[in-house]
Amino acid sequence: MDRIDRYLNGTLAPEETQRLAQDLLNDPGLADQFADATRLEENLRSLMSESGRGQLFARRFDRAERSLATPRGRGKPPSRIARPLSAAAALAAILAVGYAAWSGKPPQPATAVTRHGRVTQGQGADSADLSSSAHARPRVATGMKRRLENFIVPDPSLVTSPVSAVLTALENQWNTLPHREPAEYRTVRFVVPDEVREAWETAGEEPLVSVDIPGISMMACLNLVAAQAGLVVETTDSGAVLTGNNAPAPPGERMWTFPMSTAELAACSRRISGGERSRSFEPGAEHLVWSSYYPGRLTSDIHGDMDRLAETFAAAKGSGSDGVELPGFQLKNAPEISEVAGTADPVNGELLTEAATDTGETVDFLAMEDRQDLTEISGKAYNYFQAGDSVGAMGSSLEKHGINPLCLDFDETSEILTARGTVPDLRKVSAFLAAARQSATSGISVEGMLVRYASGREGSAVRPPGIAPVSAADYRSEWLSLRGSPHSVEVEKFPREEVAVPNAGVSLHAAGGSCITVISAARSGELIQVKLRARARADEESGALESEVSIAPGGWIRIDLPDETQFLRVRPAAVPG
Amino acid sequence: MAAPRGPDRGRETNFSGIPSQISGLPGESDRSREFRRPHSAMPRQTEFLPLFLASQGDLRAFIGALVRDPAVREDIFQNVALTLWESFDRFDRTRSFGAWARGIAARKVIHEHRRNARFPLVFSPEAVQAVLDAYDRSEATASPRRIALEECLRPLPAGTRTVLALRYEDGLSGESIAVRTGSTADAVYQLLSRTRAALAECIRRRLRISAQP
Repeated sequence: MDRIDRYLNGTLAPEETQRLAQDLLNDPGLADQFADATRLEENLRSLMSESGRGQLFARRFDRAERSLATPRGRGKPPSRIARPLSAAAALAAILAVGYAAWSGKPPQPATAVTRHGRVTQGQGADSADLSSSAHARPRVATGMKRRLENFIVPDPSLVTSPVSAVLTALENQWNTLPHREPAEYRTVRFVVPDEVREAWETAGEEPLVSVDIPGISMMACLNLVAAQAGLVVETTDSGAVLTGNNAPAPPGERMWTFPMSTAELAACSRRISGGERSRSFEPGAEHLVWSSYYPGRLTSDIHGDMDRLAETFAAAKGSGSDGVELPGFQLKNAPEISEVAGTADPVNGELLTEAATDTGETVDFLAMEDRQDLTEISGKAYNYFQAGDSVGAMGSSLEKHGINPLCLDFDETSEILTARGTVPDLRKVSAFLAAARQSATSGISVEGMLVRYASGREGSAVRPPGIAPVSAADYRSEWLSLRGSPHSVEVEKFPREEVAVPNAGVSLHAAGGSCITVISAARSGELIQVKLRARARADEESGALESEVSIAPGGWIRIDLPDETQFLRVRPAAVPG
Repeated sequence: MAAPRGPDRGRETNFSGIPSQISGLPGESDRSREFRRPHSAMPRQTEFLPLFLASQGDLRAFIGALVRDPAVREDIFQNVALTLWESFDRFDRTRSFGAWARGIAARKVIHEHRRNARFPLVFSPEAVQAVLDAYDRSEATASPRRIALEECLRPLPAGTRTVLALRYEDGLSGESIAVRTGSTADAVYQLLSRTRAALAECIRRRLRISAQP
């Protein structure tokens, strides 16, 4: 085992290595040990790396900066196997998905193609590069960088503001929002050196920047600011310094490519465009399924949103005077919507709708149906997504961050996102995409299902997966048995530590007169426990119908009321596969 | 590669929300085109991707066991991944994808070594085969081991985690870690060895516990 250990450390002499190889051949037990040890090493490599999906472009951004900052990074011919982009495009997309998603490994260096067809590659984060850059640049405070990467800013909402104002606002976010490890909290300063300020004064204006992507790390926020202002971020023991970028930008336009799956792109777009909600229902059944996304640690907005969702989209079969008719089904009790126009796409099976509210505001919906004949859709389930899930919705956010949307193209076949522009422009794109990727995988998704039962009706057909069919009568009897006896479920840990928890007192869902209220939300180490109270009627004076349950992350809970059953699930947000 | 599904596969979408190539579907308004959702992946990719994702960690481990240079290791991995993708039609679905992938990786490594004498492979082809057999024997435990390791990492002291991160996240040598942590290379290597041994023992313990009825 000692020899295997030294082999892993790289300190085993060549002749000993030869003997080890010979022994592996003759001793299957030793070979098994060798396999276990090398597996452990690879697992350590992937687990220790913080580079989840959200870090993929952040690292690329760092490398791009570094490659431009060091002389040997400029104009270096490709040292690795160069392949035509078209031949490797499909594979690149696959690798991009799997690379960070499963193993957490850092990505390959970005490939850059100049207008003249010259292919260059960024520098990998090998040890030689790190050590050489250590001489050229100030020492990076890795501890602080890690803290900045771990801290999620739920909703920066900083648009077109001076750099100093944005940095102050980010400092405030750091100082006022809860930290994952309170013991590690310390005051930070995000500063711009005097020489940079003097340069701004000479130029007569301070750059205006935006940080408007929800659920991204503080480090991603700083990178966004720096990219827009032409600066680079240096972490220090007391925070970060946004210094001038002394690396001369190569003249002319360039093209950078970013592997990105369509699912990831859609997820990024949805999150950036102001949240992700979906809801579906079957016209033949009196139930409603919905989900909403919340950025990490953002808890204050849940209340009103849930109420509005439930009240607006309670669906039922049959006509009504206030119903809004769509092919094959009706939306009832939707007071906010007065007019709906539907457009069918018979090839792709999509139903594109546009609705107008009473106040004249336009609300866009995209109904997805994996069928080709819309005349047969009656009775099928529909999923509604807000229009924000379109690729185009990312456009306005790009513009806010100083990026011309027209410089980006996404090819769905190769799943390659291409950006064209000057190097400073491309740095903005890279920082933006890094933040977008983080946003797409942070926060939580709250899903719910509301089932209403007519008297004596069986409810076995409608339930979340994993919950056994039970008749409405059984639901009611079980619920009644819980009266006065709080029901508690052991809670597992969340996979993501920065997951949000609702504040105590927040009403999560109100529909049909019922109300679910958060009693307490406790966080202890890895454990998160949310206790809820369900009331059959929110306005009942007696308030006698109460029960407590705990949310098991990823698992559905059932909250039974006399005439309806509600299911609730909280899970970490994830990019759809 | 399989043919794209639907007329929009391969279409470029710019980020102003307007497709570069309008499909011209009847009854489609300009406004509605903005809401076009990207289509799902192709069937071949859909089949390949889960298999590849599930086995790529073990594939990396296997290649890393034979080739210690990070850059060369990565080159080999990329090469193998490309070969897997190109040869996927010939993959026998009744076999283990991981075993198939590692077999191709083993042949690649040996081939590269034969082709290029400076290729950093210290094992003979027979030894490579022995390692390959060992990986195949223990393939079933690869995933539980990774899960167990996640748990075993949690209680590690901060200092040890830092060294592990410098070694495995940043890819630094023991000497570079020593410079950064103000220690000696020997101390760093000893710490790494002790930590790996402790983790291995922790994994074994957890696997034993989970195997109990």
